[in-house]
Amino acid sequence: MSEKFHSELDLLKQDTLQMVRFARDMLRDSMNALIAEDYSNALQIASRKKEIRELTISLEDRAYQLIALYQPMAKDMRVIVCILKMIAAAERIGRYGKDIANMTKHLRDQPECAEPLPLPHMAALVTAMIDDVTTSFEKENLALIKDFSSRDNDVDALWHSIFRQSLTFMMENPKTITRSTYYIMAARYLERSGDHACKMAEYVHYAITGERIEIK
Amino acid sequence: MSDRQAVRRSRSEIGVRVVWFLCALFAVITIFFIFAFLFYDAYPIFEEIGVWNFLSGSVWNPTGFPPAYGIYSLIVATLLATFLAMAIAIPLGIGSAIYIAELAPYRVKAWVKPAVELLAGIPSVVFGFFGLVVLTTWIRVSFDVPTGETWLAGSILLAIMALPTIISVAEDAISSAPREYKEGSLALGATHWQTISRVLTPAALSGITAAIILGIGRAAGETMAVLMVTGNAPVIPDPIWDVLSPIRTLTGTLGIEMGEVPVGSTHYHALFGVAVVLLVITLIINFSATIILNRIKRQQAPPASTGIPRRFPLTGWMERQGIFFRAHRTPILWGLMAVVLFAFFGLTGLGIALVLYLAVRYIPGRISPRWAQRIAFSLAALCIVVVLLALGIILYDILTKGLPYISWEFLTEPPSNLGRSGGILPAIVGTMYLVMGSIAIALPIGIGAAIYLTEYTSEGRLVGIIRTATDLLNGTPSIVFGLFGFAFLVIYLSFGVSLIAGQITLALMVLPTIIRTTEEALKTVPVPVREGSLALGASKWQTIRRVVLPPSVPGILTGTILSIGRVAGETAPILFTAVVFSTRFLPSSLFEPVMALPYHLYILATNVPNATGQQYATAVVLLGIVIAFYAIAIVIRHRSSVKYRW
Amino acid sequence: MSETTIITTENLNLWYGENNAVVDVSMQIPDRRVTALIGPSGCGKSTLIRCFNRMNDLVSSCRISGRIEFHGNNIYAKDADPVEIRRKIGMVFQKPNPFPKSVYENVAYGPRIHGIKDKKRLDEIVERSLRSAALWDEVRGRMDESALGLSGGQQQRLCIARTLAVEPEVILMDEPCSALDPIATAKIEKLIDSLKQQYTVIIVTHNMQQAARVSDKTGFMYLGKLIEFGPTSQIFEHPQEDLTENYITGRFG
Repeated sequence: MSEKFHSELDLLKQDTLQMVRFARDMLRDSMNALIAEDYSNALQIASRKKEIRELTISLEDRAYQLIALYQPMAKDMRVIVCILKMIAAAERIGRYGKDIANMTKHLRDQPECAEPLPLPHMAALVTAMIDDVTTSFEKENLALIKDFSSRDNDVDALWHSIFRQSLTFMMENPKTITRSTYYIMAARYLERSGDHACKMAEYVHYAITGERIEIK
Repeated sequence: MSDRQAVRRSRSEIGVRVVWFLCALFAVITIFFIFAFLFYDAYPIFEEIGVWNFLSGSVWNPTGFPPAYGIYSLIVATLLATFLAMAIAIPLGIGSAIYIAELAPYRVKAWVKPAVELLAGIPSVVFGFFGLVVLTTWIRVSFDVPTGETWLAGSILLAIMALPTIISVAEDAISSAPREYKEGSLALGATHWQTISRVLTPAALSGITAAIILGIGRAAGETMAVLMVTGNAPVIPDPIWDVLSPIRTLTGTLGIEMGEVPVGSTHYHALFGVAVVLLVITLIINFSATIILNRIKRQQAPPASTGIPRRFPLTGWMERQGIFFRAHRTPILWGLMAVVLFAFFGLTGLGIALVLYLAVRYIPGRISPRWAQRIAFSLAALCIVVVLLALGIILYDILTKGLPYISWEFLTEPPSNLGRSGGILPAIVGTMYLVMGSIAIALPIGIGAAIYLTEYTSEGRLVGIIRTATDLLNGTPSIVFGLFGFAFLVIYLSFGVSLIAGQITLALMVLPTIIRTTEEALKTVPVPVREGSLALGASKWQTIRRVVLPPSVPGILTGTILSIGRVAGETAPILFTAVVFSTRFLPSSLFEPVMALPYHLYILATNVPNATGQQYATAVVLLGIVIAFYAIAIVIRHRSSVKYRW
Repeated sequence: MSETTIITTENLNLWYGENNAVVDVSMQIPDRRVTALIGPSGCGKSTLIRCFNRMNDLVSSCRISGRIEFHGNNIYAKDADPVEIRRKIGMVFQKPNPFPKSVYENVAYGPRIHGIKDKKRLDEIVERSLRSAALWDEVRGRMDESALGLSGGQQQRLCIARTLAVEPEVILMDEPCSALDPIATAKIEKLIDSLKQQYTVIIVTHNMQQAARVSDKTGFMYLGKLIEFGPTSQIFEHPQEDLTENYITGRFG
């Protein structure tokens, strides 16, 4: 294939990774804002959704162009497929970030829960997973995503734990129902983001080796 | 197929292959034989007076007292006659070829091309006759000299005779230049003439060179015409550029003296010495042709696709000289021309060289491409007009003066009164017998050889040798065949002057033509067609017989008919082998001599005064027969090329 | 990106004998852009561009009506000089057709016939043209060798260099890559990209992806008519004519 195609493909890959990091930032910043109950920041974070929507459209267009014009083969084709899947996953993660940010204002003046939930820990895990899958695609290094299965299990375990704890808080103190429900939803979004990171990892693996795996 | 059938099949395949191989080998054997016999009969003269004296002795007077056997003047005469003929024929020929290939409108081309090919068919004795009666008179009158039998007359005739060859081959080469070159050049904004002169003609260079070399061979080997019009005085013109001086060529010498020389005398051996020199000159022409053509092909074609190049020991050294020459070619060529002009014309010559140099250097830059094109196109048209004019004058003269004398008696009575009255029936019949016999011999061998060369071999050493032999045979002057026929068939085998000796000699002469035209015909059948047949399980011979030969028949037929025309018109080979001037009776056996039309015309023209009517009438009959054959061949070829579009 | 027009055709019709090969074509070719002509075999696209440099003059049965204007001047006017037109509008053919001369002589041919004799100038022009055609590095050591020894892709670039040497304004390309392998094709496409800064390129191709890759404007022709002509992205993403859409999606042709 031609030089022009490969340089455009590289550029698209870089831009896609940048988009994924942008989505990760939305997720991380929104979780921080939620926990710190930082309302003004949260508003700003939510407004980034417009940008991520635009990125989705423009990056996808570029991917379609490359396919239509250059009929890529083999690894080039797998890379573009991975890029398309990553764009979709990143958009979802970004929207979760927006949803989490929007939740922040509803926590105003709500009574506290009995104990702090391990939400920051869960957010850190998921953010790390997104980071690693991005770097793995960038450097084509499969080692970074080798243990995603167990990491995802950890995230799932945290999600179940937060769920049960919240239920307990709600039963103990009905005044905390609003706050707890929102926390449950945030945790759910985090868990889903983790799943999306796993999906991305499956496609990165496919792009690099051609093999389809399933990360449970 | 059963095993037994298979074995039988393969045995017959091998048998067939061997037969064709022997046919092909025949050409090699023949040329070898010719050389051997000529050398054998020439050896005594070299022994007696030495090769150097023979070649450089300036006096040729074998019947003098003491006899002198120096052929220097004869060699020079041959070179001069050929040189002047080429100086006339090459520009006219290439100009005409360019006109026909690129400039002629379709309708004009349709009759000009056949007209030129007809010119090729006119027998040399008819040219000689015309030259003797008309051309020499014109020269005598125009230049106010005692006789018109001169170098100039000979060269003019030789030029006219070489022109059709040069024109046909050169035109073919130019037309075959790929269309893409023409389009590519025009698309760059070149004019038509710029395209022709800078792209098409150089691309066709190998073909044009071949045309010129064939022309040279034709001119150098011509006998009858030169001996009838050059005066036959064995002198070197003095000054060297005196075209009105008589000369005698090597071929002319053989033609005149062979008939009267006692067999076995020194004079006899000297004549064979002359024949050997003639053969050597032919060899040199062929050799240089191959080298030049290979160089051109290698320059133009990509290095990978050339076949096995001929490698002779000197070629490496020559190549290095060639590179040197190429780098400095412009000053070298100018220097050469200056030297030549100086040698011929002294200081005036140098002056001319200087003027030419300045003209070529400065004028073309001043002329716009449009004007250059107009001038060039007019010159090209002029060339073809001159050629057609020559044809027209000759035909007009012969037909108008000869037709009135044709009558039924003329065609059916034997001659009387030394040919001054009566008819030419025995000559017509004799020519017919000669034609039938020679074709009957040459056709099978020629076709067999061609089949072997195209179908059974790929290019290799043996094939190269066979081809060289065929090329040499092709270039051998017809008089040399006559001499060989005389030495071998008439004397050595004691056939005497007889029909059979004439038939065999003519067969040998026409063999290379048949081989070449048959090869061409076979080659037009595309390789995939053969492959298709073999892929179906047909054997090689079956493929040839059923798939390759049938569509080649028109081409083979054309070659045969052209050969018939040639055989009917040739005089030199039969001069000493088959003919007598006057017999009242038709031959009753193969071992009797015969009359023949070309010979009859020759003797009438040169030895019988007051027989103008008979002379012209004989010329008309001969011309008519030969042209008829050529015309039929042209029609067949045209029809079949339309039919078989692969 | 302002667009000026360099060649205009107005109601152009061409007949080969009775056959109306180009039917009422009107189009405006933009200057210093790449314009592609696509369409099924026999739709008249090659015939059309051969009108632009009057190569159709070589066919005796050819008749033209309508106008073609180059810089506003009718190129079929009585006093128009086809030789001059061909200098300004050059052509690269489908099958590479280098002359049987050396590489140097091939490129120098054009300047020579237009009167340039000075060796130094010729050397300059040859080197510049070969560089523009991205061929200089590959042939600089074999300038005196026969051009026929180059590979197909190199020969085609040589033909492009040869055309560039006469400094045309427009370069017509008649399916320039159809006789080449994919790698050679990619090189030519890259070359076209770099050429469009200085020259107007009109390329006929039956490879739609190629047309979409290299061109700025595309015209779709069918049975001699110009069905649609517009920006490349529009033609290939949402063509306005059904016929165009059917051709592009492979439903016919």
